[in-house]
Amino acid sequence: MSKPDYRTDSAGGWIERLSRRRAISLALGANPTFSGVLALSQDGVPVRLALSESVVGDVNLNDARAAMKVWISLITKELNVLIDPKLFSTTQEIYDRMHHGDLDAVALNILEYRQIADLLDSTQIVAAGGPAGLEQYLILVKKGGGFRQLSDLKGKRFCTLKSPRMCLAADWLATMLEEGHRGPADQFFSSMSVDAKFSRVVLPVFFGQSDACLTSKRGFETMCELNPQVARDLRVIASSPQMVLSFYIFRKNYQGLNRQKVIKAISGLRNTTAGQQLATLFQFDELTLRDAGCLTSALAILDAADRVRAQRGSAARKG
Amino acid sequence: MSYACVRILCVSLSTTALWMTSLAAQPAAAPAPATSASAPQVLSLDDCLRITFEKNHRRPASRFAVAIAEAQHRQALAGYWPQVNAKAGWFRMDEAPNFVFPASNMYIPSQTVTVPGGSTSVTIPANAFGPGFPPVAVQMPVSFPGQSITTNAQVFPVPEQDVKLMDPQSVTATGNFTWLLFDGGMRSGYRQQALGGKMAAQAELRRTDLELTDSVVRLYYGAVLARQLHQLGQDTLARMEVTLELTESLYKNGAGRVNKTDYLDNVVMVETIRSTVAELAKNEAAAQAALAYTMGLPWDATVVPSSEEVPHRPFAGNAAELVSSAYEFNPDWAKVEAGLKALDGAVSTARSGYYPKIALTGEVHRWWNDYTTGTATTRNKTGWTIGAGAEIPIFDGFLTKNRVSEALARVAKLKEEKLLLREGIGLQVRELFLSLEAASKTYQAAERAMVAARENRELTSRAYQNELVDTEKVIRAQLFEALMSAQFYKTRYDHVAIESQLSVVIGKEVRERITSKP
Repeated sequence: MSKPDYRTDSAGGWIERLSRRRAISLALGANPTFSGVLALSQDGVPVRLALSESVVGDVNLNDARAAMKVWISLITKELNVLIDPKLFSTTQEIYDRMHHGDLDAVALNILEYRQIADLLDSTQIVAAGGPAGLEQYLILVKKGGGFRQLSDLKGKRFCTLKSPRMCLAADWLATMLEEGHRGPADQFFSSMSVDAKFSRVVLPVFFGQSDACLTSKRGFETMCELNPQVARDLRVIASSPQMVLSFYIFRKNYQGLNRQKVIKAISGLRNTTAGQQLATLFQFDELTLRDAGCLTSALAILDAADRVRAQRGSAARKG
Repeated sequence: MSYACVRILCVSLSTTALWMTSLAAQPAAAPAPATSASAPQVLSLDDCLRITFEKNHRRPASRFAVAIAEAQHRQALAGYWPQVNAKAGWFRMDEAPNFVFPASNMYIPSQTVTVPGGSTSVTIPANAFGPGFPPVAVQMPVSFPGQSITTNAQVFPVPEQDVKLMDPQSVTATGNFTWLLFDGGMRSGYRQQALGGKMAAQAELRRTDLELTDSVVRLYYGAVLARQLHQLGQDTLARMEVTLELTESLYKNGAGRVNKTDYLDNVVMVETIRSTVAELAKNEAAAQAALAYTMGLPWDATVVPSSEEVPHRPFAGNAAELVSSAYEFNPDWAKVEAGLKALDGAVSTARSGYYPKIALTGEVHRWWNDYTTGTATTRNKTGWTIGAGAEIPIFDGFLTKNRVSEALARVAKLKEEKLLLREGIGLQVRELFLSLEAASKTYQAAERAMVAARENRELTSRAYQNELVDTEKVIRAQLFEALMSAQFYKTRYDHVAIESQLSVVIGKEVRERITSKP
């Protein structure tokens, strides 16, 4: 997470000062953080939706709640759906409330999903649609640096983007290294750093201050579009499969009109100008209804990472 | 976001709004936009033009002007035909007219009549005196002496005589004709003048049609533009309202990183946009009302264009070609040509004053009156006359000469005006042509700017999602996209409006005169 910027240069500076948009984006959209989507049912019973504070991270919760209030207001006004987000400090708390039927839906990432999947109905998942909604990780190196594959990076400087979208980055990297029997990442690289600012992850590689970085494909493509020389000078030596990492999902056995209203409200938000603006400000793409099949690639990485951890644990016990 | 950038957008939209207001006011005395009592009609441009030609009152007025001129032309042609008239009448006088022959004396002078002497033979037929006497016819010689008879002078008085002329009740029927055989060019002059008037009226009708078409085309697409700008303003307002809502929420409930000045800056921006949107809404309604008014619909009618956007077709042509087309089809040019024709006729008419006029005349009559004497004789009751007459001007105080001078001066004046018009039309076409070229270039630039602004907004949004740019840039990109879209819509309209004006000057659909690119 980047440091808050207290510039007061313009009327628009406030959002920048808001410890970046992360708080809001986590809360409302593409990221698994929060949102409260609460449809007013015919009998007036709201839909209850959970958000884990652990996913929000170091975002100021007051700001997140304030942004959430706007979200609720818009959904209510435009789509006749109320949002009643509930912030939870741990995934366990969400699990407990979900287990007792106190929650109807949850916005979460793939890690959390895996922990409470037995309580969730994976037949309907509302996630970012289209290729833009799929996340992919890349390992980038500078052309002409003599790095052609991951093994060439042994003992080199490595930087990783820190972002909720990068929630599987460590697992994917560990899996990749394990496949080549190269050991844990912190031992493989000479130094490892993380940064929440995309440019501070990619540009050091470009300027030779770092040897490689792990970042998102979407971000890299956007940066290449902004600065074509970055595309010319950097090369991808490894890429992950496409993954769905964050989404809305319902509690098992939660049915009824409310469920459909929530799906319709979330997926149709961008149909209005105000909804589009909200989506832009809160950094999420168009959301569509999908099934559990879209999670396969991400879950496969988590399974592989688990196996790696298990093997290492076993090896450590033997050693 | 930059407040200056918002001000630019607002000023731009306000300028467009003002411009749209003037657009709506273009048709003479366009009504103020009012809450329409009747349901809005959604119409295509073709429908609008059709209704305009059916309902606008300027067109029938021009049509009647043509009818007047045509009738005047036929009146002029009537002079070539003999003028035949018939009259019939019944009348009764209080008493029969008479003729009084006054009393007089008839004097007979004295006179002497001399009878010379002589002899002759007399035959006495048989049995002249009685049966058997004389038994046979006897011829006897008879002698008589010469003598003189003298009468005295005498006076015979004749009394006054009252002669009745006719019966007091009569029925008459007469027929006459006059045929002007030679007039020294008077009639052909009148005919030419009338023909010129007819051609001028036809040119005026054509001008009316062109002006109506121009008005409807510009107002129709003006209404389309007004709607697009209004929609754009609404979208911008909706976006900024969401931003304001977020600002307010963060200011009042957040962690304190958004302060009141941030919030107030946003309020100023949103309210400025809101006022602009209100103006744009008014402009949309005004444009629709003006369109309905021009179409000849009632004051409370509203016409909503069915077109979603103003069309654009690039063109390739040259000014010289358009100017030569204008000389062929421009109604003002046609009116000058018609005026010259009429004035030539006026010269002929004036010159006819130098020449004699010869006419053939005739008459036939019948009179019914019960009286048969007096003047009511059979001979007088029916009859005919035929004749020829000539009127020869000898001296008119130089009236004819000065009439000719006047007519020739008028011709010369109009010819000079024609030269002015020729240059004027050329200049008008050239100016519009240049405007059209400039509008095309502006259109291309505005299109590129809009595409770039859209691409910038999309890229900025994507970059924002990846923490590569700040929120300010996203909002600025959105505002500039709206601004560029407004400019682009306006340049589309400008192109169509200039093209329409060019059609009026050229006198024909410009699209038929210029080569369109595919």
